[in-house]
Amino acid sequence: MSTAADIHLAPARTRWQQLWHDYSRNRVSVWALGFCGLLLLAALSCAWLAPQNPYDLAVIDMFDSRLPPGSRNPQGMTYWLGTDGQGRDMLSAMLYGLRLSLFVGAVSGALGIGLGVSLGLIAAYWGGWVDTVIMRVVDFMLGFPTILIALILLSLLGQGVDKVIFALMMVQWAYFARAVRSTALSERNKEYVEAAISLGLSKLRIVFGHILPNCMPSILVIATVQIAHAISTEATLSFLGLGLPITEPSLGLLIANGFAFLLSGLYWVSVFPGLLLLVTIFCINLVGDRLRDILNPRSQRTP
Amino acid sequence: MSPNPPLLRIRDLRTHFPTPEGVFKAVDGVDLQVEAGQVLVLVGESGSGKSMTGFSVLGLIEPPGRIVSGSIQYKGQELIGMPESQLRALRGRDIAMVFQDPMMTLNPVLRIDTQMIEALQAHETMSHAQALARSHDALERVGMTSVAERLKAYPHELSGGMRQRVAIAISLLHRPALLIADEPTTALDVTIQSQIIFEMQKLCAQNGTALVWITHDLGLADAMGDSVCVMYGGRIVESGPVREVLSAPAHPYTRGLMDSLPSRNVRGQRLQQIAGMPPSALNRGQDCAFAPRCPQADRACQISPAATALSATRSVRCHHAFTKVSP
Repeated sequence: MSTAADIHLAPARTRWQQLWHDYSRNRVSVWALGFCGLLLLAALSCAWLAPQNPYDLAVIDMFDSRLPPGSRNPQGMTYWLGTDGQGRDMLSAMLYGLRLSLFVGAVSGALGIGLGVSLGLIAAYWGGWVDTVIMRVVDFMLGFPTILIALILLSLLGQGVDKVIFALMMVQWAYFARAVRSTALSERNKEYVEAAISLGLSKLRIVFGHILPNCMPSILVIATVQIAHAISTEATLSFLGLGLPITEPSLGLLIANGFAFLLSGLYWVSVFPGLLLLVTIFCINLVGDRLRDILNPRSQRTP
Repeated sequence: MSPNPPLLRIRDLRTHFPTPEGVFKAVDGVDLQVEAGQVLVLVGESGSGKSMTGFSVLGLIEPPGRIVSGSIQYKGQELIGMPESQLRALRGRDIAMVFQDPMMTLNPVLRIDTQMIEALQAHETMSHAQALARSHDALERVGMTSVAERLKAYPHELSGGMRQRVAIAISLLHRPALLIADEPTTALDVTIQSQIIFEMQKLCAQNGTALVWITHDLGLADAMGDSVCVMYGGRIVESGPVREVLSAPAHPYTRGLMDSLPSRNVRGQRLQQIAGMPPSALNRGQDCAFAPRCPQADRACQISPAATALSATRSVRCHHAFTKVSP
């Protein structure tokens, strides 16, 4: 039993410490995670960071519209990234937009995880017709393009943050259900599940108390990828005009607003929100890729 | 029928697994009986159906496998066909199980205290603090040191022997009337093995827990059992009190096992072994499963022998019981 001895002699780390140890061996991923944290912080504190409140119509002056980056207004305020078609400070609008985009992405992701993980676990553990019904619905959902389902839902529901979140949840849960089901299927055949049954624990307890924690690594990986996906889908929907209302611009809506000016050389209205969206999604994806590398037992553990 | 039914009484149990190649008859007509407080050793080689017999008692047979027929009575209550909720109430509280591999049976992501408290609260209403105190006691009783620290540990931080002690402590939390131990020492090294066997014997004796010890090691039966059942090919070929069976084995298979024990062999000579391979449990026919490897086999063995009582406590399934061929 050399393995047992080795395991015992290794310094005891909690799973999270081990996770960080493995994760931090790649510097780019650490930077990406740091950047994600920075973006999150900036989005959360946008009310203090932003030079202007882009939702407050009283402080917005139509005469300041479409000013290039670096211009100053009569009140002595500098528009570092220029202004948009309504005279809003781009930097402020982007910070507020980032907050909204991250919020929509995270909340719809969390709801999608909740629904998808529950259904995936139930399908895997109960099996039989329950499994068949759930997985056929999943197949049906995954058979349609994400954006198409979201568009259909939004055209039925109308506009609003809550409706966008609902639509994004509906297009995401199936991915989680399928991923969790396959992990849970291999987990339920492990001996600890048999041991838990032999202790007289209830089915729900075994599924959510014993199998779910063992599925967390794969949930974590798909969650990061899906949140990035949700943010980009929301941007797409807003760009198409079916997402968030124009009074509360997200990054996607800011890009759409500037799109009309792009050919007239007013690049900043579209390009800066676009870059921010790109960096955000890129960083989240880098984190997700690294998590997949270290948590997937089949992939090589490279430094 | 006696007024006091035995603790566990299995009659003609058949647990089969349908496969694309045919029916896999893992357990094919097992009869056994365990009295309260008794230690029964169930001996057999890999694939003889001994673990599946244990699993059947707790209703742990996974589909597509199922108990095809037979009866398993616990204190006179029929377990086969019992509603899942009633069975769950018995599991862990009245009948508990210790599994083979302690690396696998504890949940790797939950701390020891979480798992013990959960096992306690599954059957008794008690506060977290009470459950923690009970868990602490239970670990001390299985000979763990620095218990408070161990309770906070994750399974991977404990050695194999310690993990099996934890598993045993969990199985005995509710002082079950019956404990099924499925080769609990096979995955451990020899020094830990004897410690674990000693602890389990002591604890079962203290609690009055009857023990069904599943093993492939006939030597263990000698050391700890009251009675022994020898399994071969999904059936019990010989059963009876340990002393009687080991001093005068009736079935040729038991004799073969005894002869192949290292202690019975002469130093420097090759160990004796039973010729041939264990039979496949797939599409088993009507003949005696041991016939192809048996030195005494003849035409009579084409029909599987019924269990014959040799005394009130002993029985054997062989047409040629006690007959020895001279080599």
